[in-house]
Amino acid sequence: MYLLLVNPKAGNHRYRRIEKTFINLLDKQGVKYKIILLDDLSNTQDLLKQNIKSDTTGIVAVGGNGTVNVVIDALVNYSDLPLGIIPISNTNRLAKTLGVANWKAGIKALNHPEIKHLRLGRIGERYFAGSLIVSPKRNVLTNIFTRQNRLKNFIGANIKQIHKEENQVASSIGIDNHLTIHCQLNAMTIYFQDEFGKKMKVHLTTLSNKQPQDSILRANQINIESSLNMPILCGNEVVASTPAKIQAVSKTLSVLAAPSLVKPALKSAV
Amino acid sequence: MVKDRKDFADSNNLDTLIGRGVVAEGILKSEGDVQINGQFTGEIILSGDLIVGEHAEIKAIIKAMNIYVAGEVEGTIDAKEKLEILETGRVNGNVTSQALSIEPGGILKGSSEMQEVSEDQPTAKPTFEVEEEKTE
Repeated sequence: MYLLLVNPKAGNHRYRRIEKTFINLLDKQGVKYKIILLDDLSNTQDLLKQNIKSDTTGIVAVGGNGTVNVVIDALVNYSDLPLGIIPISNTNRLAKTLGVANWKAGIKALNHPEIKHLRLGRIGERYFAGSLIVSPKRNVLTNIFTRQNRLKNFIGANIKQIHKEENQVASSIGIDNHLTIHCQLNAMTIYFQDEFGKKMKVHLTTLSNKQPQDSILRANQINIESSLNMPILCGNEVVASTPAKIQAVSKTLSVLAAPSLVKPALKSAV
Repeated sequence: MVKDRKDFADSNNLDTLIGRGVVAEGILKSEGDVQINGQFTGEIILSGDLIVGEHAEIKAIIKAMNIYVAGEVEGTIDAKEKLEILETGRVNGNVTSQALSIEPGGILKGSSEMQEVSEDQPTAKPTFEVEEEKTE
């Protein structure tokens, strides 16, 4: 039986609007489930303790990036239970990487899921999966202003107000306590790539003579300090801010992904 | 394994890339290929190749498989296989390598020591049977 942790506030209270169709689709798919409403995300750990029983086969986060991040953090102590995601908002990054484009696809994926394992990292006292983005506040705002919006285009308000060259912050990045990087940081993305062992891959975009320059580094531990505090985003949700310590941990999280699009016949041919 | 020049700056093959305008200091250890286009001070120890970009400024002790220098390097260089100083490259320090190549325009200020190419040696040791002399 799946334990569905539903955040009713996610996606501008979208769950309340789709509740009937949502439950109908779950029943139609023949999925066994129990719904728990997360009115306060800080209680997630306690709710899991109370509701995980011997017949629980998986935990499903129903909500946006914030809900997923909180459930991942709470689920670390239950390594035998996989995590499913039913995205309620349209910007759920982790769900998209698991092949779950919307909430209907999320429900369908519960039926015949493909189990994948995601490596976990730690930022401060919190665990995370997927990727982190560290970027100046101005940069985050610019992204919001420049996002394509038909209404803004129509009324002529979709104008970039902040110059790109201003979107940099003097930063010092410690890599595994033996290498220090000093740069004018425009954006930093941190993610796991198994190709090079268990280290995190760090992609830096810096500005040199107003031209963006890329840097790539590998690290087990990153200490970042900056002249201005920068938000650290996990799936569009701010989870911390600089200065911060980010670590790769040896734990992995089992996740329920949508069945692979590659047909079995093709798979065997490969 | 010697790389062609077309492989330079191919970020897909790189383990580490330090971009232009970035200042790094400390010890850089890597199993893969590394390209430095910014400034570096310290020690570089690589199992793969090191590519020093045209705008790079390095003050370091360097150990790597193959080293290609198109920027400025000050310090000791130990290339296990090949050291190539390109036309814009400038090396100030002592270098050790199996093979050394300096393009016209490239500068080396310092001593150069060439390592002998180690020939394949049999790994198994020959065995000898020693007959003991019988004393009657």
